[in-house]
Amino acid sequence: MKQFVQSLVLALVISLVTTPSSAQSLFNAAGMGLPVEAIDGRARALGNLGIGLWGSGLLPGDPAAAGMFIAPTAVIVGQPSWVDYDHESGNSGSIQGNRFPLLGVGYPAFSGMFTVSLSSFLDQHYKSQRSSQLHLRGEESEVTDFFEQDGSIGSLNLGYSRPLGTSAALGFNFGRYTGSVLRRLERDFGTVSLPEILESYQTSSRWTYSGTSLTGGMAVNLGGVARVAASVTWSGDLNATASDENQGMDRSFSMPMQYRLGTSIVLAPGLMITASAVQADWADIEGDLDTPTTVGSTSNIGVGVELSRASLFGLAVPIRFGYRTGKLPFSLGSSVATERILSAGLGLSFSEVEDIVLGGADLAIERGRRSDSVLREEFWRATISLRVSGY
Amino acid sequence: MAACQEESPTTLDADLLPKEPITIEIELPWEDFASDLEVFGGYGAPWELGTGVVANAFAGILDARTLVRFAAYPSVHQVRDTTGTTRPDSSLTFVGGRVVAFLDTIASITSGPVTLGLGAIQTRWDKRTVTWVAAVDTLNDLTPWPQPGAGPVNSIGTTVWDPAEGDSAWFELDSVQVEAWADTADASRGARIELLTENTRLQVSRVVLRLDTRPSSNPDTLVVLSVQRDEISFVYDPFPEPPANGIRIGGVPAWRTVLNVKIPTHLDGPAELCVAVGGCPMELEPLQLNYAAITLKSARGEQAFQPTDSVGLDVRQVLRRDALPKAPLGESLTGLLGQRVGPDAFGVHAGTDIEIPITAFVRNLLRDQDGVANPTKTLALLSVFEPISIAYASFHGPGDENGPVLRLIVTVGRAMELP
Repeated sequence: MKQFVQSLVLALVISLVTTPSSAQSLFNAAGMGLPVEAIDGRARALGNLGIGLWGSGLLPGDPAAAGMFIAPTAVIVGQPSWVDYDHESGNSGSIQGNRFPLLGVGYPAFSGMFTVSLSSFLDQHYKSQRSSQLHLRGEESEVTDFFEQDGSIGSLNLGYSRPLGTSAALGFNFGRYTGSVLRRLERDFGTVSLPEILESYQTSSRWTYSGTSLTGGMAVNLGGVARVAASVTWSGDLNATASDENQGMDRSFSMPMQYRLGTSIVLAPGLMITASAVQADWADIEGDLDTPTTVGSTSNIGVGVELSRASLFGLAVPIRFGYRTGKLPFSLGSSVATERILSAGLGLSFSEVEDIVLGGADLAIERGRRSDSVLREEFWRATISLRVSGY
Repeated sequence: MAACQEESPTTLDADLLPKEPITIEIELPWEDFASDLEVFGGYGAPWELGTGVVANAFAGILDARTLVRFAAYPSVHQVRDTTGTTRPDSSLTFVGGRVVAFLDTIASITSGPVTLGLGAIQTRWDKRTVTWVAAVDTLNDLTPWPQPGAGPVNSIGTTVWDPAEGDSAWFELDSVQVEAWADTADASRGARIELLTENTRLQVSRVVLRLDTRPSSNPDTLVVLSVQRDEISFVYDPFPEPPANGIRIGGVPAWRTVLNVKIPTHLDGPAELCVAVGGCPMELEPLQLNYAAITLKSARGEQAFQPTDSVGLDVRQVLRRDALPKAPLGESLTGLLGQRVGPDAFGVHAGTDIEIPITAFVRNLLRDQDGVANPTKTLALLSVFEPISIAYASFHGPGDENGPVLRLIVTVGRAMELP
């Protein structure tokens, strides 16, 4: 019971020190936003899509993995990024931001692991502006409309997983979509020549997201050399409920089934390779979008290698490299947007008992590119995850 | 840590914005936003200006005279004696002097040299209540002038002032007159300045008494000592009648114009607006209002009271109309300096539209209408400082095409939806 209370306190502390996710891409403006994967620094460094990795994990997309390591566990992931963008209109520049895509706690009970995690799903924050001419008092005056969409969609997941024998595990996550989005438009009249400055016009609408998802998965260790894991996520409609004072309407969006498959193979002591794939068909949502948007089917694959025998000052410091490529569900242009990422990283073990890491950090650095027919982004992204176990 | 700085992605792609809101200008005639116009006078008195006015049949009708009472004469002065030593001399002999009047060349209306007259007042007078016909008009004490216009006076002299040569005119005094004004207990003490040249109006900005003084310690020397005026006021005739159907602001005593304002809660046009919002009437919400201004059309008032300087117009809410003319007023809606209007708007450019912004007031009025259909509030149009000048601003009243209108700039957005 004491450990359970500790877990809750830890989850509370972590949630208090985190901040809401913020924007990291102009693709946030496309359709329902840019997917944000809830994976930690180790998976990022390995180009992994969050499934099939050796070792413990609290990854919502791989619910069975928690059942492979029965000990209280908590993880928090932070992710700063730096993005250079180039739009076909000639608009180019840089943006940067931070987000916390995953916060998770696991606690053993009933011969398995109960997990609670708060994860990012779609990032929707962006700003835009346009200038137009206004005819007032016989004169043409320039006015500027500033628009900001601030919000994101996350998921609160409650999961349970348990081992099946000594080499397999089964798990599921019950997820509730959370989050909200505020769309705010302001018209600034600048220096329109009147006896008094014109008060700017402002209007806004807010929606709250809700919905249900269910993820089931299984992981199998093949001898001591390989792990294979698979999971499927079913989602009901994502509902956007307009707040009472809104002019906007309630909306509903179809979410796709998501299929994940991943494997890790130990080729030699201290040398592991991993491969993973995720597939989701977002086609059904196209009919739910009022704004014409290029909607695609996301098929992502990632591969990586881990050298786990590297050490530093007597501590194990596994070194990782990875590559992943895939498509984004929503695009700004007429073609489906794609993403390619090269990654590298390492792990740090702060406390370790009998090869079990009780406290550690994983760091990943990614260099990637997203592009469609009108927008190209190149970015650096760091992912830092902290994990404690057995507290 | 640099990464902690958030820079939101900003796109210039107009397709990613909601539909463009429309901004339109609406002009409401008097009948649609205001009613119950009334003009009140009597705020303040001439002495509060601290300046004087003289006029003689200006514009055929206006006569005005300035009354001045000087402060006590100096009783001691530092004087260099015959040995070259400077020391206080308390035995001063005033052998003569002169009254110097400084005239505001910009605010004065004259076409050339004018003749001014100075006289010594003979009747007890009160600077706060003095008028053309009354020397004193206090509680239980109404003393008329023996002659309307602060008369009679003992004439002291006349002088010619040429505005091309300077801004001051002076009248020489002999020692008898200087001695007569030395008694500060004499309530009839004072000088009356009048204008003898017809169809002219001058503004007296300052009056000084300069005394030719012979000190006892050096009787061969004349020292000139200045005595500032203690009190100044002016009287004028005729007193303007309230306008039958116009708007009057300013003057001394000051005029205010009061009106009830009722902002429509629903708009029934123009067609462009109705199309944009999908039909009329459309409820007007406070945040949709970007600008609101009462627009008055300036009028040429009585020539005698034409402004010669800019007028600062103010608008304040009348907190209790039933207590008028002494109703408390709210804060200024136009700021410290008010809405400045040049004097030409009431002369050669009469008919100019003068906008007085009241956006915040109208927004609040729209907010206050919760549960109350079309709440009415009262506004007072007045000058920023009261009183500020004998001149007042005139505007066309309601009833014709030149009447006041309320100009609104309204922005209405389309319903904002998710993508």
